[in-house]
Amino acid sequence: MEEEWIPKITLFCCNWCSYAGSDDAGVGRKQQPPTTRTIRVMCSGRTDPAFVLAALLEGSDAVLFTGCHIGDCHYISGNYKAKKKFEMLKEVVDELGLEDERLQLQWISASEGSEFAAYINKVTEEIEAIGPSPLRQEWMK
Amino acid sequence: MKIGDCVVAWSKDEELRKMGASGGLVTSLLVGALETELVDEVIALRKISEFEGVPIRTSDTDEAIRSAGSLHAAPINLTKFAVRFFEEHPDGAIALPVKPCDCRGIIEQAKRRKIDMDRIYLIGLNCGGTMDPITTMEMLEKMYEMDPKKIVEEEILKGKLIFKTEEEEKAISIDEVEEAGYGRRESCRYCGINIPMMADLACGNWGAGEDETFVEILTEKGLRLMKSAVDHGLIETAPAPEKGIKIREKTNSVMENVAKTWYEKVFVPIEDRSERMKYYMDAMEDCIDCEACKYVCPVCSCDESKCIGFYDPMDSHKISIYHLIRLLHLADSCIGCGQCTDVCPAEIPLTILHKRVADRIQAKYDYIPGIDMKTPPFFEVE
Amino acid sequence: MKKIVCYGCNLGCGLYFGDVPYFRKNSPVNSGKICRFGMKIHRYEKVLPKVDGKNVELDDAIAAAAKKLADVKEMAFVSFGDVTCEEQLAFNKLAEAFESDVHTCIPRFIGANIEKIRQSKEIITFIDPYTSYPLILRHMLHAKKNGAKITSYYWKKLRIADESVILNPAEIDKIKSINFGDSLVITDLNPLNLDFSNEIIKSCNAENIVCLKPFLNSTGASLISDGEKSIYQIFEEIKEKKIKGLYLLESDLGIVPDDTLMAALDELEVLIVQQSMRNALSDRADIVLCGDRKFEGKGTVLNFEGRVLENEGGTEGIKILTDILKSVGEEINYDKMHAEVLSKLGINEIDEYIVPKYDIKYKQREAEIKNYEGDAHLVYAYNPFMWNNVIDRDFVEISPSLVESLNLHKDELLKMTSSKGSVAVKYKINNAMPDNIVLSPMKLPISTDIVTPVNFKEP
Ligand SMILES: Cc1cc2nc3c(=O)[nH]c(=O)nc-3n(C[C@H](O)[C@H](O)[C@H](O)COP(=O)(O)OP(=O)(O)OC[C@H]3O[C@@H](n4cnc5c(N)ncnc54)[C@H](O)[C@@H]3O)c2cc1C
Ligand code: SF4
Ligand code: SF4
Ligand code: SF4
Ligand code: SF4
Ligand code: FES
Repeated sequence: MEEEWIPKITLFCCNWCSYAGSDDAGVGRKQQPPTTRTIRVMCSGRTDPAFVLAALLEGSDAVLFTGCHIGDCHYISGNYKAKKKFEMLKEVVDELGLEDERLQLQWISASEGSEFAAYINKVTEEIEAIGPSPLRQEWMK
Repeated sequence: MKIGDCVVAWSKDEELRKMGASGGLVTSLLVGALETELVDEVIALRKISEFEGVPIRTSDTDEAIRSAGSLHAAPINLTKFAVRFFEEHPDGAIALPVKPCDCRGIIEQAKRRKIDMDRIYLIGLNCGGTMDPITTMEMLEKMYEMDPKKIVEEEILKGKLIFKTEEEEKAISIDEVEEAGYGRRESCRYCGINIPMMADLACGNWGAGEDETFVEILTEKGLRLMKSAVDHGLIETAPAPEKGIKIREKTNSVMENVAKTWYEKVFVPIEDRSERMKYYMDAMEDCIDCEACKYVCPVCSCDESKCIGFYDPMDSHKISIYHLIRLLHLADSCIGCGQCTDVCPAEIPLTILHKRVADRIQAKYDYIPGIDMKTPPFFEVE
Repeated sequence: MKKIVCYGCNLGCGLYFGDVPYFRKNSPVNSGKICRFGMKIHRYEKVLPKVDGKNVELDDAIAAAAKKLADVKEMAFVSFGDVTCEEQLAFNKLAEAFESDVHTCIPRFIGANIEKIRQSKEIITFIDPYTSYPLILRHMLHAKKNGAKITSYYWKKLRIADESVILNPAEIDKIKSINFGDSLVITDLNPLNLDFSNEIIKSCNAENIVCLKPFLNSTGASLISDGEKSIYQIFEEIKEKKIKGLYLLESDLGIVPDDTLMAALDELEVLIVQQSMRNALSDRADIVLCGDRKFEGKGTVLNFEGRVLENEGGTEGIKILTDILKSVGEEINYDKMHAEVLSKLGINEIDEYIVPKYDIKYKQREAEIKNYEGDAHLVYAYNPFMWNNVIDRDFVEISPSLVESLNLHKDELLKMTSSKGSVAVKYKINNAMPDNIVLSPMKLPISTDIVTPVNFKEP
């Protein structure tokens, strides 16, 4: 089981920017590891912290909060709210003892396909380096 | 009398003055508020015994009078009773005695629109702490060698915990009983707010003479309460003597230091990440998901709670999502009142767990819940 | 707010009740803490009086019951003890008037008390305190904190135990070889496990046994009523037509496996139930008499320690019994019952902070403990929800490797087959489970007993 482990990264994308960015990475055939599970939300502001906690408990080795760059949110202030949620979550998750790499925030625009791919590569390497999440149960596949 | 004044005051009714904890002032104010129709109802603790008080909501002045006196072994938080009043009477007005933790709970609920601050009269009580009744009875038998049933009065004076029966009186220092695991609840030991400066009045016996209550008038509402009780012939007041004011300040700062020492003793940081994770998961694992900790929390304000909604008893997570969501949701608002630990059937030290998380966030955002109407950091978006 | 005792089990947890529960912090057993059941104590549907399936006024139902009691001579009276001592005593009077006894289906036993748990250094437990009698957990935790070693014998590993021995249904009789020494033993007595607990009780010193029971006043009821039949004996006699009618006072037979239960009920000439909760039994009964909700009866309650507690409330249940007794010319009332209860208990007043001494002999059973056939078993473990017919968990617990070997995916159902057929149920993965046991918090339709041999092949 140990040998088989490859990181499982849950990726929250907003419909208008980061999801389009990931799409752009795909269309542009950018090389990416098969480590992400994408969940599309209409706006990063909709990424309820409870979703993030659920993703961690259900076996994600990392969770990525992504959305439009500050100022570009299609609902004007959604990503400000996302940022606040992220900051609060970050403190809690850190206090609980999860490593910094396991919860990250990244703004990605619709045209940043190569940045997106590079980011996923970087996160995957980071998670590979620190190993499976301590919240993951042995029997979680 | 004006806002900012410190006075001593007492009930003009001799019997009530004797029944009251110090001067029967708080009870007189409750009676006055009802009689002058400042409020529709009051909340107080009905005394069942020295070790049991039941929160009541009433518009009956006799009922209010019967609730005079301080119950140190009734560790109850009145916030949710006030919330229920406003649920039933959105346009009503209410008055109640509040320890600092009651007051803080009420203010946090007001921020979440569950309580109307203009219609609630907060008669603050200084607070040196409450005790769990069952462990206190055990302490009486084991350390004081007194029969709990015979206790007629208890008191904290000069660092000593004093119990009286009709025949005798015994005092042991608080440090000694707390060393033995008795005394004040853990959360009270490190509770740093003894004088409720966020209430409308701050009442106590520190600095007051025999059968007098020391009162600091803090707000317009507080002044109104005092004035109407004077006009109604219920209470008598005199300016607080300089000496009394000094004693009150001094005792308060001594208590604050004791609290700090306790805080440092209880909240030893856990530096190592994996140790921290082990600590939280281990502590929460005995949970039998009764949801009592959510139910009793004075700052929880949602009706359809996310912590309960997201939780499925079929989950087999290492730590339940119920607790993770609560740790997050209370991070900016936990006031460390100890209610959750008190009701936990699995004896999980919830208050410590919540406070460990909350203290980080509250420090980061420079936010102290329940002391003013400042917006909680979670709601504060750039 | 009224001062009441939780009816979820016989621990005797005190609480207040207005329109919702509130914590009664100086209650001696539980310091005001209550479990998931206590928190939801008031959530049940009240039954309405009925005769032959039709809603009627209570008085008419009472008259119908009086008439039936006069007609059908071979009646059995059963009350597990989900009522106060006063109501139980009134029920005795009714049974006596018809020359019968009241059976509680749980034998008399009072053993060690809570203080003894807290002080003990070695504990052997046969119950899962997390689900079955939750408020006992804190006393066990207290002992553990003071260095007690805890060994559990149960269907799964218990977190609180230093050593967990997993019971194997095929070799249950192995419990006979446990060396109890001076350990404090925590077990329970309930209508379904009499032979199992009998085995434990007879192997240890009574003073070392904490014997929990499942109903509000199991202990008090067993002191007051003399009937000694077990639930299975009663069913047997119904089948043999020795018993033709059943009068159940707040006793839900729904805990018994379906086929045994149905076979017996079908034979009955009359089923009278006096209860407050609507359930399958009240739907089926010929006559339904409804009293106060279970936690609202005024009177005296004894917890498993023999501690005497007071419950504030009404006397609707006693009134129903009084009215029926009037039809045979007997006069009773609450005050009389209360005085007689106190004198039976040998006390003048109720003091919940002391545990009176009792001199009670446990009557050993003749029966032998039996093993179960098969390699895999479905076990239904009791908890307050099950006893009280408030199902709040509709899934079973199984081990990760069983999930793996059956190749089950999340959100799939576990399929099981017993001699009574097949079911598909939701499951929860639990590391503490052995591979050969499926643990259910409730009776399933394929259960033939508390333990049922099953297999996981497609039918
Ligand atoms: C737990 C506790 C600790 C205290 N510690 C200090 C202290 O360290 N220093 C100090 O100067 N003063 C302290 N006080 C305040 C003091 O005991 C008196 O309450 C105050 O002086 C007012 O006296 P009174 O005679 O005017 O009040 P009363 O007329 O006697 O009225 C007291 C009111 O408080 C209510 N009450 C009683 N117990 C509680 C409780 N546990 N929680 C909430 N409300 C309650 C009663 O129902 C009543 O309405 C404490 C009070 C309490 C309840
Ligand atoms: S938490 Fe503070 S205010 Fe509340 S009872 Fe304890 S000492 Fe008093
Ligand atoms: S989490 Fe606990 S300590 Fe914090 S406010 Fe709520 S009940 Fe009080
Ligand atoms: S009170 Fe204790 S047992 Fe109940 S839900 Fe909270 S942590 Fe769990
Ligand atoms: S069900 Fe039992 S353990 Fe739970 S609160 Fe009721 S009496 Fe206590
Ligand atoms: S729409 Fe992309 S962050 Fe709001």
